[in-house]
Amino acid sequence: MAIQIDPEGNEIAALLDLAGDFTAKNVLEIGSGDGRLTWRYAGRAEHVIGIEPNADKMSLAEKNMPASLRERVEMRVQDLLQFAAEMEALIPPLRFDLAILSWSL
Amino acid sequence: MVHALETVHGLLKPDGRLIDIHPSGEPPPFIVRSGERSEIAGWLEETDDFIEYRQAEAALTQAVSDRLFTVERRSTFLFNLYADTFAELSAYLEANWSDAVIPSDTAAHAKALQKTARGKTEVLLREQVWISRLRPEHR
Repeated sequence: MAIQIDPEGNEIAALLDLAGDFTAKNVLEIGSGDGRLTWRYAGRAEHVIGIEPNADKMSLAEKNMPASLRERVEMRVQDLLQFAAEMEALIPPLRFDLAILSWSL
Repeated sequence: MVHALETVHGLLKPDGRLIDIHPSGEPPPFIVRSGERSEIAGWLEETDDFIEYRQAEAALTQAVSDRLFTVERRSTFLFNLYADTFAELSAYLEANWSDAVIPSDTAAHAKALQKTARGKTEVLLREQVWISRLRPEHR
């Protein structure tokens, strides 16, 4: 078999338990990597921005993004400080209902 | 890391929430499973990551102490990687986890357990992970 990563779904179960209802939420995922976790919750959210400084991981994420999520998920090769500066420059500044530090603090 | 938390604080709506997910920093065990039987073959060693995980924990504690966030809920979960063979899992870790070091005695023990087991076996690496929900405070 290929490597199986969290086949029990313990991570997404814990996330849904703590984050609650994703409906109508604008989500920022910091350290979204190859999108492994993102694909598991994004269908429930209003909009998701994933930021990941590693371009190789982001390429994988872009390649593997399910077609059904392309309308609501935006992936960026960016670090947190660059992203925050960009959001701050918007009028009005963009703010999020939920931020997820995904193994990235 | 505290600075990162300050930055995230500024990106949240006043009623927003932060979810932090990070490993506990405890060395993850390699477990060889055969039917109902499970045996620990040894532990993965990490050169730098465990330091970062402890720093992450310290940063969260500091952010709470500074009244930047309040912890609303916190729990743990087990994050498992599965493979048919130890070699397969080692190759995956080598390619995807640059900080991971597999002690030679752990590798030898895992291979021996697989070799002597009856029937189908699988190898897993099990990490304990913290997950926290934090509410931003507004001073």
